[in-house]
Amino acid sequence: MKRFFLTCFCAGLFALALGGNTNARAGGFQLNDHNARAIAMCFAVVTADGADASTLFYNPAGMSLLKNGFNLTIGGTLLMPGARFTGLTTQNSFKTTAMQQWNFPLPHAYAVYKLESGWAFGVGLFVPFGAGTRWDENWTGRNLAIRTYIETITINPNISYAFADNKIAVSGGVTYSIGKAQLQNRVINFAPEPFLNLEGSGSAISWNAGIIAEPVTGLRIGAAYRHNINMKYDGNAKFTLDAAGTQPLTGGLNNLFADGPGGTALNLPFDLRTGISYRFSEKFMAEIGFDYVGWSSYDTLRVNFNKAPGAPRKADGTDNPGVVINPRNYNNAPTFRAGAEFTASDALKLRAGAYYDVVPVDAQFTQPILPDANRIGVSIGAGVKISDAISVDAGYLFVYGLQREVKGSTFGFDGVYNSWANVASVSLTCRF
Amino acid sequence: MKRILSFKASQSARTLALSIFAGVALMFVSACDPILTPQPGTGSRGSIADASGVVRYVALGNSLTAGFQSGAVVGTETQYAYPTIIARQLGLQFGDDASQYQYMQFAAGGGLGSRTFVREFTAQGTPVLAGSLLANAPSNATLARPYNNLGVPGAILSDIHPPAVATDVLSGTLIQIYAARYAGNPFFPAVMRNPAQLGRTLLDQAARLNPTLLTLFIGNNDVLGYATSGGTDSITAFIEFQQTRRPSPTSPQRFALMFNQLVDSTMAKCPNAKVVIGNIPDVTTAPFFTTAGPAIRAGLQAQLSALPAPLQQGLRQALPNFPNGLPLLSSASTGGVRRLTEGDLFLLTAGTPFTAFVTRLIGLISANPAQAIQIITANPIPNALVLDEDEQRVVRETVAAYNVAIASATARYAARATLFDSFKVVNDIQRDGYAITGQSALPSGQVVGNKLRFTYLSGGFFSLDGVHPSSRGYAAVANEMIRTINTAFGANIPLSAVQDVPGLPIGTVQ
Repeated sequence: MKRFFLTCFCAGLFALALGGNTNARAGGFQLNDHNARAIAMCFAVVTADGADASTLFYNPAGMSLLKNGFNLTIGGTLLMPGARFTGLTTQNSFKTTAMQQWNFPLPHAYAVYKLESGWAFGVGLFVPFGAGTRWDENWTGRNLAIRTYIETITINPNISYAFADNKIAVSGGVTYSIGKAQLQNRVINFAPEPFLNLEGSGSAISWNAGIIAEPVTGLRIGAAYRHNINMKYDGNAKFTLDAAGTQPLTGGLNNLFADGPGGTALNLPFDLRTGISYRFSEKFMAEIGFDYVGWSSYDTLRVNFNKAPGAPRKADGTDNPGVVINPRNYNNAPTFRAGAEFTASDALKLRAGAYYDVVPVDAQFTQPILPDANRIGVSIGAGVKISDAISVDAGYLFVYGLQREVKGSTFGFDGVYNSWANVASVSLTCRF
Repeated sequence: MKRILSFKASQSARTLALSIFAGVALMFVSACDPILTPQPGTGSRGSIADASGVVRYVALGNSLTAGFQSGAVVGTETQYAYPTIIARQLGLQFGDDASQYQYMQFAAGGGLGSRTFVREFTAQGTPVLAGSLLANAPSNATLARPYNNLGVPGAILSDIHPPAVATDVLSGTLIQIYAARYAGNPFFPAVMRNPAQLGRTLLDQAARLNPTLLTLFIGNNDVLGYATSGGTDSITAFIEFQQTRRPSPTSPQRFALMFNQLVDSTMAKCPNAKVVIGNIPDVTTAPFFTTAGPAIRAGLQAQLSALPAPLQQGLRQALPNFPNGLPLLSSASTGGVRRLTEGDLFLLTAGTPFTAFVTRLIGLISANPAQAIQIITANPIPNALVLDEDEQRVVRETVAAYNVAIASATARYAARATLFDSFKVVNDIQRDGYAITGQSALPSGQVVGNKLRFTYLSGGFFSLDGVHPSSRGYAAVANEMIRTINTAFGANIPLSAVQDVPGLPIGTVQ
């Protein structure tokens, strides 16, 4: 039986890793959607009370509070983001453009082995950062964004130890992340308007840690920290006449906008999660929490070009390198969370949650690349125990972006953003 | 926020179940209609519509109204003439019916004028310009009613509504200028078609459409011809030129009289129209006047440095601020000759003839170095290559005087007419740029919002002739005119999306 599960898990992991290289996934820059139970409780799972192996992501200290033996959790999340832009209001225009529907499957997989001694070891795979937006190639904001796609797949081994009669648990881990970024927009100075296609990839190592304490029976306090991931992307800049990136430029425009190597760097923000949970009864527990995400690391987006776009070549025919600096000016931002779990019967658990995510960027810097907004999330879900070894969780989250009105945009792009997302997830958990 | 936080901690199982139900309901509602759209601009037309809510719009003017750019009117760009953009923003029906909006159109690739275009960029990124002569008849020339866009490139103030039997307004002398001007300008028969049936003058044709909104933007060419010719061209038909033979713009005195007459006639012939009257922008800031100078001056320095040392030294001593101090013919200076100064503007078209002039001069000097200064003095820079500071002063004073006349003529009909202050609009854009959406990289690498600027070729506001706006420039002008209409006539017409109008075409005639 054990062997069967292990084989399934490894096969699943392999399939996910393969898929990770080819599938589009993401839909908000920081992604928390790495387990159906956590989604159903709006990620208020930092104290790991009632958690499965996915606590490796939300607070790895919870690993050493799991049941002894193998704890496996594997699953997938479907992210269905949507957005609309209405404007430009500077032109007294209230034309609405809808972002094109683009859904993203996100995999997650966790394996934790808990020893009787209080030690636990585990490894997880998830997609902690990602974004994908797609607008019409002729829309009014085409010089800001047509297609944007960022994904970061992270593999995260962790070690955890619980002591003092399991009243305190600590953990630490390292992360290895592979990142991919694609940006497409158009240069609108001339007709035709070339498409700029930027593509790059990179990898980075970082670390994480967590702690959980239970000072009073039934009351848990938890905190987990994931450090910045400083990702450098090496890639290419390509200018084409068409969105597919196949037709070369004409009229010597390729002498102004030349293909070539290029690169950028993204310092993906740190993330501090905290939570307090209380088990009111055998059947009911709830957690409230507060996260703090270090978005101020996303200050500017510098894109290095082998040849500065639009600039003439040097007299000797060689290229002038150039850097294009996009101000982003994000700020550190908190999220407030609450989630609860009700054990309806031995086989059925019902869950719900809500959160409020404070937008990390001022309106004037908001761009259609990522239509950011203050977000409210509400979630429900259920967990079904199939046997002592196997349970299945499902969760659904609706994220509602509060309407964002931009006036005095740095990018000359005043208007109103509306955004939302539907998130559905299923996870399978095995213990043996 | 507080409610969300407190709502979980004290739940009983039943209220939890209820709240789950409520949550699902909320999500369902939200997913169906997830956004609260802002209240759209009403598109209200204020007092520019007739009693039944219909707007009939006619534009009277010159090349600026026709959508002329890069030396021609072409079929692919007449849709970006400012009147056409305004008509589109007004939500007018486009069509041949008398109540609809129609303008001059050409078959694919067609147009009228001497078209300049960017053929390509070289490997160094330098634009290569080329030209093409277009002489097509409009494809809808047989339209049985006047065009709504009655902009005739080259038209001067007196062309809009000349009397059938023309007498000079200043002298009373009988003159026959209009027939000659009509015959001499191919845009007249193209735009003002079939005078016998559709109306003898541009104003008559406009009146025939019974406009509820009329824009009148005329008078630029009364001074522009003088400016773009470096102060050598004149409105030769007028009596003052006949008498003095000295180039000048239309005299402000004549302009004021004629403008008053034209506004009177317009208000009388178009009794149902709200009228927007444009004044004249300062032309001297256009790239036609500001682009060529630096390269020409640098070229002269290089020529001087290439001369043999003693000769070079002698010339530098005689002309310490070289090339300033070189003699220059001028139509506005006493004695006809002045010294080149920093503020003198070389015309965009001066490059080739100036090179020929300098080559000839160098030849003369090289043959007789001892007489260098005398040769230079005897061969002043041709008048037609430079709009010098004295001529600029004439232009500016003339424009200012015209604008006083236009403002006072407009003010007499305050209830129905309003001034479009194009002088201010153009000055503001010249100073601040015109913001359009998007990002552009500054030399520093910083990316900021895009702006249309006056810089030749890369600035985006002007077309390649350096005098007329580009399609985007016209869209910006249209937006400013819409603002004027909205304010004056209580309308709420949305502005056009300037960045959605095509930029400067590269690699094709059009």
